[in-house]
Amino acid sequence: MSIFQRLFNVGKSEVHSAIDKFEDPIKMTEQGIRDLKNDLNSAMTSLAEVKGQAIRLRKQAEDNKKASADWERKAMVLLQKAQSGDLDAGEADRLATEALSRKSEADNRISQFEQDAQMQEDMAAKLQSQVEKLKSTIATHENELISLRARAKTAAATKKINKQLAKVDSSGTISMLERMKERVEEDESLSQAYGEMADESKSVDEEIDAALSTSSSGTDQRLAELKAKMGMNS
Amino acid sequence: MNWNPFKKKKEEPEALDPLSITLSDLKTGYVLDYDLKTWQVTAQHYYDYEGDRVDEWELTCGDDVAYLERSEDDSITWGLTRKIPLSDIEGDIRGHMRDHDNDDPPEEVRCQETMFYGVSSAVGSFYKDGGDEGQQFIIWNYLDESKKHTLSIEQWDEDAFDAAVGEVVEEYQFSNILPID
Repeated sequence: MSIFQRLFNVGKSEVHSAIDKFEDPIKMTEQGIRDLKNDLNSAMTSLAEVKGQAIRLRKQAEDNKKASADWERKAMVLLQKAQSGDLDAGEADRLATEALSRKSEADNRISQFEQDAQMQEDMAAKLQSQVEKLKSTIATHENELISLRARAKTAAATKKINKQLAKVDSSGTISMLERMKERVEEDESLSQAYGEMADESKSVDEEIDAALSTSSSGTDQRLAELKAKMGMNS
Repeated sequence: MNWNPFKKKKEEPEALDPLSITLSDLKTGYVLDYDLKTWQVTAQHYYDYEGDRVDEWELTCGDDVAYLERSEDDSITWGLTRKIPLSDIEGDIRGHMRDHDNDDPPEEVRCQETMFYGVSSAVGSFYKDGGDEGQQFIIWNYLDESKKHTLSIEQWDEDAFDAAVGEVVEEYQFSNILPID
């Protein structure tokens, strides 16, 4: 790899890293959802146009059905008039043929409009399924955005607390508190030691006193008994 | 040169959220589903009844044309009506009105084998396509025994009457509203 290629790669990775730092996941997700909604809007508008076109084509087919029936009715009336002698038979045939020709034209249009309407309806069905899919995707991402917002909020709060704790520790407050705690514990240990020592000396004195007291009273008694035995007055 | 760097950018209208389109957002050209059929909004008008506004959308599906009405009092009420020939109402409505100086409609009428009972009347103005100039008319409203089906008789001129039958509908009955630019 050439030195320029390597430099280019280093530069590229630095740019990516800088861009990554600018990316706010919440804002990026919101923008993504907005973009998807714009796509959905366009898809829904296209679908509305296709469906509207199908409705218009069906209406035109219906209008031509009415026209076809009307031309047939007119042809029949002409023939009836000829039959009843109200109209010349040749003229009635000519006009009836013309009416039937118009009916035929209307029938052709019916078939064309119905075919076109069917095509539009088929296209609408395909578009409809794409619209539903897009709606579902957006709904999923909107739900995820709610969760992301909550998680980001928690993360921000935790970050803040940790940052504060880190600051407090660095200023030595926590270590000072720990030292103070240790000192109190040391004092407690010391006082306990003195207490034990005091307890110990007190008990030795008491024992000596008790022993002395016991031995003294015993000696006095034995001395009195001896004097009594020897017939001496105390 | 007209370019001005300090000129405030014109605010664009807020885009419609495609996931939150409601019946009240309907505009001419919109498409929606109702009663297993797809309808297109082919016109939008409104009525004014002494300050109370009623919006109306003309819905077309092939040969079928229906009118969706939205009125707001304490809550929003929706109604769907279809025009009928005055002759569908039994009796001589025109003659009755003429005989009663156009201000005393029949208290009960029979139409399409249903009895309807008069409930209210009002003077209103009709604004075609939401225009500025209203056309005045008088309306008499009737309800059937179930109070779900409506009949209205409108008088637009000395001898010009319209009639419509309809029903109370709920917003949930309409779905798949598609906007158009």
